[in-house]
Amino acid sequence: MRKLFDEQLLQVRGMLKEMCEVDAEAMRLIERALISREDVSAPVRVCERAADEKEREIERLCMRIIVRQQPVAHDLALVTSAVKMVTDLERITDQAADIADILKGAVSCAVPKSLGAMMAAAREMVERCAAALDTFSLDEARTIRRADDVVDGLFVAVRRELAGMVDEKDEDGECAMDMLMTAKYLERVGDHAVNVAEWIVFAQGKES
Amino acid sequence: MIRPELRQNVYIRGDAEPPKFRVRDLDLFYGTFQALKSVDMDIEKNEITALIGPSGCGKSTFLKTLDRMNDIIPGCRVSGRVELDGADIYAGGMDVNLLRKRVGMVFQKPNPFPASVYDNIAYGPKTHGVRKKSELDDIVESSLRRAAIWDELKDRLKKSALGLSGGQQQRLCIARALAVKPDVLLMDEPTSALDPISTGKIEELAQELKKDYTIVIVTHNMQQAARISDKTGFFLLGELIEFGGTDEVFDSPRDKRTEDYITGRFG
Amino acid sequence: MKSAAALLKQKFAPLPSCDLKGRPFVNKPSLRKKLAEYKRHPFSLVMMVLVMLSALVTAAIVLWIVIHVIMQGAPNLKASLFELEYDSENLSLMPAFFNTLIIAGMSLLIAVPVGVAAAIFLTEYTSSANKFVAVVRMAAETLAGIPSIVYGIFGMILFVEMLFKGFSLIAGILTMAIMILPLVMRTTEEALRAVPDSFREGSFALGAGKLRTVFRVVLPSAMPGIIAGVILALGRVVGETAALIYTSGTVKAVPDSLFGSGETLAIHMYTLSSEGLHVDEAWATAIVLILLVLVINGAAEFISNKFRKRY
Repeated sequence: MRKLFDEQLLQVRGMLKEMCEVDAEAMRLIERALISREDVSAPVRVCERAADEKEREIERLCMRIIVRQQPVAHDLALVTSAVKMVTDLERITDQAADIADILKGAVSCAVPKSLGAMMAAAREMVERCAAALDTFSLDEARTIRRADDVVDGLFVAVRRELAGMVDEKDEDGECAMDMLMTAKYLERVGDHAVNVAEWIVFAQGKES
Repeated sequence: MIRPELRQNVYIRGDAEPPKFRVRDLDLFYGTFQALKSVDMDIEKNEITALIGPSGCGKSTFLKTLDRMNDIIPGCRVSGRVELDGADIYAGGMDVNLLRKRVGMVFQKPNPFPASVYDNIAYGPKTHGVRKKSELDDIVESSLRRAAIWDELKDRLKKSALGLSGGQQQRLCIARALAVKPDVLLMDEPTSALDPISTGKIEELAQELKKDYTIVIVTHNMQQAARISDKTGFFLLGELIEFGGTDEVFDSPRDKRTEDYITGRFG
Repeated sequence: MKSAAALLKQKFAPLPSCDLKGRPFVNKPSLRKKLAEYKRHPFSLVMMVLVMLSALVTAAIVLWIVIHVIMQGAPNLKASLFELEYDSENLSLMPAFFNTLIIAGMSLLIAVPVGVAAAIFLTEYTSSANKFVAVVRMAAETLAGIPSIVYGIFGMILFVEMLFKGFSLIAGILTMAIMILPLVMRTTEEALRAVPDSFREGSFALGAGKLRTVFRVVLPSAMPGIIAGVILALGRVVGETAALIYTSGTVKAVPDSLFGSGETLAIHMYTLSSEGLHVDEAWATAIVLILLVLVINGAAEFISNKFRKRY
């Protein structure tokens, strides 16, 4: 029963996962930019536009489901969480694009060690989101929430490290600002990933 | 006697003030077929209680135990307790006609008598001893007003009720039920034969009427239950599977079978 | 407000042959198309012709009888036929006419209440699975199928020989009542069964008892059907001869009391024509009898319509 409806719900889940994969790709790109100092702003823009496109597609599908299938209970939870989740997923590529732009202009700046770690942690969080969206696993969603504490801790560490480097005159002010901005954006990426995890929990009708 | 495993799934209020209807361990048989199995339910005053479930699940049968309309059916036997304001309606001293005066009923198919609009409404009050013309006139007008159909029918009081549209007939039947001044209104799929506009009117009317009446409505239309009711009960194979606030039942049903039914994945 | 003439004109105006845009209507086949259709289904054509012929034959027979009776009887309709007292000169039919009214009216007065009450009991107070009901219904059906002469013999033995010692109106009335009782009961039962249960439910749900439900809701709804049954019964009484000859007798006068003998119109016709001397007067009487039946049918139709229209 309700074959079309079930197919549409599966489709929503599949599209959410695809969108999150795009986010993860953008994260991998900016991580490469941080390590190898190459310019990734163009490919990250591609990711950003792909995410925008997906966002609209998912919203349209969800509206259609609401209008034509009148979902209730868990079905409604899934659809509403999808509508909310796409905003967070879309913001992640926005942040990645901003980071790509900053790094493009800061190729000569020294990179604080903890920023590399933070980048890896944030990228991993987004990748975990993609995995969690595949199965809608509650456990996976809960680990993402814990991982955000690590990212937040690393942000404090980056700030401290940068302050030290400026004091030692190892880094000029402009570079320090760029690195701090990068760290701040990464911290936001972590928050968005947590939001995605929370919507996954909500979609299953559980208290978060 | 309430079995503990049922208590978990069924909304039962513990307050001191009794509910309008208190149903306990109600069984009903048609011949040897058991149509209701140990139903427990508290129906609150001034609320709309919706009963949902697939065809043949016993929801209409349950509704008819509340005004003893099942008594007409040969071979129908009821055991258990149904209390109306604390008094057992199946007790020996209960006057069934007075019970049905207090508990009005509206049927699935509009069933006006083949008589004028006026006579349809006046039939009930006359049955219960109202004779004065002026008093009957007042009752007819106020009942039709309550059922939000006075403006449509005030110039056609002497016309046949069978000439009205389906939606008008159903609201006439609601007015007819209100004319005997009941405190409970039972509605057995009152809109299943009506178009969406008439359905909307009846739903709005039910919302309006719950200020003064207790309403129990059986419906096949889950959106309707979700739209208008305060409590929702889900019946399946004669059992009350889940009973609780409509918000909870439709947001996060506790029983898998309820979820399957309201999301349309039953069976 | 339109005038009556305008309304009539509107009602009988020919329907337009094309729509407002001047296009022909496409869902009404032309005669040629119909014939082409029948060519492909010759059996349909045969059946259509047969059913049309049957209707025609029925109408023709009725018309033929009526015209024949009128042609034979009308020239013989003389004022003397309607004199109050019968004698061998005027051959008046009036005593028989009054006797007919008395016997028909009185027998209905007895049979209708009993028959309707019995039908109410069978439909409203017993379940259809009841054995007793099955027996009563079978008995009624059997009674309805018995030839009227059997009722006549029965009436003669019970009422004429044992109870009233001689032919009398009352014996005729009682025999007729017994004869039409099953008819009234069966038709009333059918009419009551045709009343939808939703009416009864609606009444019960308002707190009305059984008696009130039956008399205020069910009976009024069944009234057209019941009246139709009563008309049938009336027709049988008015047209009855055999059973009445053996019970109410052939005296050509209105008796002083119900215990005296008197004949009905149908018997009057029979005696006039069987003697062979007054066949012309028998034809004239036939006109009156047919008119009586027509008037009764018309009146019943009127009453029945009145009930139907009100609801």
